[in-house]
Amino acid sequence: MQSIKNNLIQLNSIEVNFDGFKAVNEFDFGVKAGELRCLIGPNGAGKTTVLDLICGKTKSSKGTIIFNEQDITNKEEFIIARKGIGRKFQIPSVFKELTVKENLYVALNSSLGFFNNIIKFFNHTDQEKIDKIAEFVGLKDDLEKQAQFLSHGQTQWLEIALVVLKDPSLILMDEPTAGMTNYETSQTVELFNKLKETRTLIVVEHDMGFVKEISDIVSVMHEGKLLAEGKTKDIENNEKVKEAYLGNKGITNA
Amino acid sequence: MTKINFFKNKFFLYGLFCFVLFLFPLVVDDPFYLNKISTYICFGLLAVSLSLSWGYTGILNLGNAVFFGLGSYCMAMSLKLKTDSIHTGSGGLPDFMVWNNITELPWFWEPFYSLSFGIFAGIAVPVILAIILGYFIFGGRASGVYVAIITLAAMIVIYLLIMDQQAYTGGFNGITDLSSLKFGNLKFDAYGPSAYYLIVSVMTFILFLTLVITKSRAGLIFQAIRDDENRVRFLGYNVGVYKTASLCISAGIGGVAGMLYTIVMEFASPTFMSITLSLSVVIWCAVGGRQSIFGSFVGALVITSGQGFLSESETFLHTWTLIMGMLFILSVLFLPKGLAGIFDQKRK
Repeated sequence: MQSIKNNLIQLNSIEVNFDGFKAVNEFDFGVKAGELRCLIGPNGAGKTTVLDLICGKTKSSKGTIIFNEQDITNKEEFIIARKGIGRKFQIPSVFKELTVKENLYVALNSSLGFFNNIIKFFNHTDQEKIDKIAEFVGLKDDLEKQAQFLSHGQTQWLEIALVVLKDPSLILMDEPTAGMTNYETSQTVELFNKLKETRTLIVVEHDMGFVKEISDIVSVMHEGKLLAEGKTKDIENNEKVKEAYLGNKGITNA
Repeated sequence: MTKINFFKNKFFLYGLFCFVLFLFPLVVDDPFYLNKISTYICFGLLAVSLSLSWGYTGILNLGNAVFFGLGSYCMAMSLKLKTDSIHTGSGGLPDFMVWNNITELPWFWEPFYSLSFGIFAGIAVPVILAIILGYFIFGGRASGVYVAIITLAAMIVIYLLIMDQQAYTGGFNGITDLSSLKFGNLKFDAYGPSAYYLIVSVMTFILFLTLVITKSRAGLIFQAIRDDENRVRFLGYNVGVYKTASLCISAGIGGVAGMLYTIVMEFASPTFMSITLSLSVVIWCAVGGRQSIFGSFVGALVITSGQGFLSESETFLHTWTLIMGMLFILSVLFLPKGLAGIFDQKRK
């Protein structure tokens, strides 16, 4: 077991109570800086809730969350975001009526306060930064397109770009490859391997093929608790994990 | 293309529009029509105010007319204290106070002796109301239909308060018999070109101000909030502050529109903050295109002038509301983005 002190993010016996149903129950979880951790588990295991807890979307009823040696338990979403945690949602959420360029401009990491922004207008440095990130996620030719006309995969990438632009030290990704074609998934693998070099990531994912491509250590959740944690290979052969997935067919066929 | 398309440039379009309105008195010298057009412009500015909060930020404020009404009352209070004392009792009291056996000017009327204070209050009072509303609505994370209900309810509360406190507000009759607006030797007679020029000048200022606001980064964040509030929040923006700010700007513009309206109508009435007016603004914006400031403005001009024209002609005396209703239904069915949608270049 790794030492808790070195962890960038640490959840201590965290608990969420949805009207009596404990979606997350006494959950302990930690990720070191620079790691790419995949969080897997059967439907309803509480994976998304864990991400919601970290970024402040859901409030916990017990336990603490420590990020970068600061207590961020139940803080407001924008405060947590400003501390350096970025969140990508399961259903891609971008600004549909704005162009790709405008989307990226909203996320561009500069001042966040209202009074600074009311006197701020688009300029050349902004354009350069936007071109750079658009290149990174392969949206360079679509800058003037309205976001609602992007393909599903492009929308996912646009949201990833929005999150990356904020330059967070920890990125939470909820099923980034959901609904993607094989080609798009392989592109995303490439993207993640690039992201991995500079940031810490927690990725919730169902696609085991994708998990194997990007992650070394996998955490498995079941009924709100941590079921197992370890190398991808070991997890696939773990009896407890196999049992947790319906039909005992094993994780690979889930 | 290297050729600049002037008609795509909003600054040029706005400038041209304002210029044409400035020249209007040269063509129309009937004071009655100038006064009419002035009132339509006031309603246009009210539509601009709603377009900013509803069309840009996604706050469906059904109590939008309350800002208009409050601005109008502030101006009326100042102008009332400037009237010649034909109708006043001892100590220059407004006539309706005398009828209600008030013997001393209430403390909150005192500062309105100063016209500058009246103008300041006409903007400040609506803005303060917007801050209070914003604090509770957006602090409590109310959204969608709840925002509409709360804002509507807040407006009705203030409407009832003004109706009820007849001795201090003029109640159902409002504040009538106002003096004309005067700055030193400059007099803005409601039926003269001077008031018209004043209103077109303020309109020009507000149109360009909103254009700059919507072009700023904050304006873009407003639109982002309308599209996906949570996404904005998780990018580190304090959404509540932005929404409140949008409502405040909207309130300030609404207040200015109300003040101008009182200047041209020469009275203030509780109907200025009625549900009827508030819902009409929603229709103006919907027809003109709520996501376009200019579209909403033109929508208000077209509908209010259409109403004025139809209700005065003998043929449509009894059917004009029917025609307006049909126009509204047609625009909702076929122009979901309003009149502005026709000119909007699709960005695909």
